Amino acid sequence: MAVLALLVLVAVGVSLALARARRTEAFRIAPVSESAAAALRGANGASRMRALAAITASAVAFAFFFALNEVRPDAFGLPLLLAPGAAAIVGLTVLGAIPPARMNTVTLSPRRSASLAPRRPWSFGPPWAYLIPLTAAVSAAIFTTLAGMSSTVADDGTYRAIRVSLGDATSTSTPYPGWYYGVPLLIMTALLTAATLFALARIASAPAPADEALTEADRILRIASTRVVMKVSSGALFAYFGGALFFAGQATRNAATFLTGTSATVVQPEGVVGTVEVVAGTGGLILGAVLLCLAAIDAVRAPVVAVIPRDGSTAGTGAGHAA
Amino acid sequence: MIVLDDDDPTPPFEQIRSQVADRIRVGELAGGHRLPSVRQLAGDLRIAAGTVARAYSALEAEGLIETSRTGARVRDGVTLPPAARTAARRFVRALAAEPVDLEQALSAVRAEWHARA
Repeated sequence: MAVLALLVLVAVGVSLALARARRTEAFRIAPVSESAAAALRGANGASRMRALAAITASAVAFAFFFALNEVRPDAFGLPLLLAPGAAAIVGLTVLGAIPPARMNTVTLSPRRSASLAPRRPWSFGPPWAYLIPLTAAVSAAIFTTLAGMSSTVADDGTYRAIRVSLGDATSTSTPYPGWYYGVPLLIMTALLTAATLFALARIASAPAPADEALTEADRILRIASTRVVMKVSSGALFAYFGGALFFAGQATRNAATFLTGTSATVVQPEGVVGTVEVVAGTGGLILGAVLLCLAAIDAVRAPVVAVIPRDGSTAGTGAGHAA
Repeated sequence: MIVLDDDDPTPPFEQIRSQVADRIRVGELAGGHRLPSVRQLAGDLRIAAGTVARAYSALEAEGLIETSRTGARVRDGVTLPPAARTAARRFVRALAAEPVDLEQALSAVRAEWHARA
């Protein structure tokens, strides 16, 4: 029932985001000449093939970790917790490893132009698009460290439990994201950051088209690709951080609840902290899933919509027809 | 934007050097502006990285840019005085109706420059 409610919330989130996106998708329209439109079609196709390869690799990685979780119950759910991040790392690595689409007209013109502005991995998105996941990654690292420090040893000797005391009585609960889960999560956050930078660097460093008529289309292609990368990276981060937070909250709440006869005493502030973690974790999971769905939708659509102006010019966005 | 023309008899490195130098001198590229990496510019212009590196070396030798491990930057205080740009604009406007190309116009400037000396 809870999973169904989550799925409904994710579907609502994706629908709302898509409805809002329809108003902001105008950035994809590039006025180009007929000859340039052919080059653009090739680049759009290559871009989608790259995205499909990355999505397939991600799905395989996710399935592998999911299956590993099923066959290794002694791993206490660690593979499942790592699955979204691992899938994102594999997807971003594949995306960065395949050479980006080049937008070239059939014949190389003897006159070629180039911008004197350097292209950087962070050149094709607004600052907040990088600051939000960066803040989330730092927050995740701080939370994981604090959770590790507050964790205690479970029956099997791993740091994946939390213990709360009430007078002489103690209560222990698992699974809690102590060092057993925290160290792999910290390593994965570092790897996810590296994979994101790798994919963004490849987008920025790809040679620009030599034909000046394709400059705007090239900029749009880079913006669209950057959006996909940042959605994948942020989505994965929110998904596994949300998952860790959710389980931390559940374990904290359980450990803080002491049953005495028929009444229950909830130790504070652990009880409140646990509830806040469950709510925040659920929010992170939903946000992560929404971003990953939006990334997949963005990845398979044509990144640039070519419009050939009726008068043949490519200077404005006036009347024209989509190619 | 800079343009590289294969049909121009001027060597590619000189085309790059002169266009970047012009933009720096007229202030289009201000002091501190970071230039694209050698690899980026070479990739965009479809030429060898060595050609761009040679142009950057020449610009550095002229004192227009400074290079470090982090890349190339425009030096401060290398912009021409505004009066030079204003006079050049007037000169170009005056020749607008004349059958004179850029090289011929520059010959006139050079001749006047030497006459002044």
